[in-house]
Amino acid sequence: MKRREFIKTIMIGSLAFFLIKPAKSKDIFVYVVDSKKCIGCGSCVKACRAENHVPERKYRTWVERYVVTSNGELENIFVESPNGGEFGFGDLDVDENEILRAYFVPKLCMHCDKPPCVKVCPVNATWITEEGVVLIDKSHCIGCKYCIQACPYGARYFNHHEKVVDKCTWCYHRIMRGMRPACVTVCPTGARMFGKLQDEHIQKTLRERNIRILKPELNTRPKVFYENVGWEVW
Amino acid sequence: MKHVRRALVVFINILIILIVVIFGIKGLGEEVYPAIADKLFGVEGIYGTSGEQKEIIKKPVHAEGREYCSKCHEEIYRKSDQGKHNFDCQTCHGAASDHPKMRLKVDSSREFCLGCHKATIGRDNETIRVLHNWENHGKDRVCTACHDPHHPWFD
Repeated sequence: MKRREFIKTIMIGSLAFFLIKPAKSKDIFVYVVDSKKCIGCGSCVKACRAENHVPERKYRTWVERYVVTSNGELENIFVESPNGGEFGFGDLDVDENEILRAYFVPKLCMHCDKPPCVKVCPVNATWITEEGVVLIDKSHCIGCKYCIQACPYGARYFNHHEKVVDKCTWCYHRIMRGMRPACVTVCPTGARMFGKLQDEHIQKTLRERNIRILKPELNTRPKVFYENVGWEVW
Repeated sequence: MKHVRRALVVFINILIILIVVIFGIKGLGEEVYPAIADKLFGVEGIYGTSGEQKEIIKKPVHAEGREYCSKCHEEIYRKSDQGKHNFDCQTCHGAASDHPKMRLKVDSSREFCLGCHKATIGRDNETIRVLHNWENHGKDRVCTACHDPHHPWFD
């Protein structure tokens, strides 16, 4: 083979290699939260702790309460999450007539399609799988906590026992066995929904108009969708 | 002059290849950029791309579903299936990780039931039947004195 031919084949080969994008799997998992159905009982947080051995005072999923009040002025927004909502929510010192709207918002890792946490990891210990789940290699994590700062949703926490960063995996060991994540399984009202994008019950809710994602301006393309939440959820 | 031109041609070639590589990697998408080195060299697992993934799948499941419980407790399963208390058993009973060996404890106090059924700010009346006069309704008695927890309605 002549040099010219060799260079030509190398060039064409490399071009073809880079232009062909890796085909993404069709089985993308999505998570839908209906805020109207959430009653703030905290059983999801307890189930997550039992299933994934989450250390105390750390949360893979947590529930927030948004209370929007107004006494003749513009809206006041009050957000709280006592113990991550694990033991329920207490009374508030607000006048019931002043409340415009109040609801619970379960939060978890958004499993972004363009995860900022994956981008910043200096040792590539976190990655996104074909199913769209963002995972962490605990044996490779050096515990630098860059990803905790990079995550705009605050979904990552530092596990002080194992000295690594940890996060929600959508119960990867469960969904790969055809089960639902622990938080979805235990939810008594069905506020949390999980499934593949093509699933019927997911398609039905995704066709609703009042569905939204959190922080769309960051272009992280989260795969957790919220139904019936106000503009103030952030 | 000839050897200078040759060196220039080689230099420009190298430059073109570099530019092609950079744009090629960018074309794959920014989000795969960090792990591209692993994928190019076919090294899987060393930087956690697939080895750990298989390990995570092997993790034991602690909370099985309702159907798992129904294998032994079919009567209760059928009873709860009739009403809206047809959610998962572990919501109240806790995770059944090694249940047949370990007995499951269930909290039967008033506070446990009120954890869901107390009237709270933010709780939707349409979703759950909230108890507005929870302080006086069945005072000083546990809820299970009158209500069957698996089927709390009176027919």
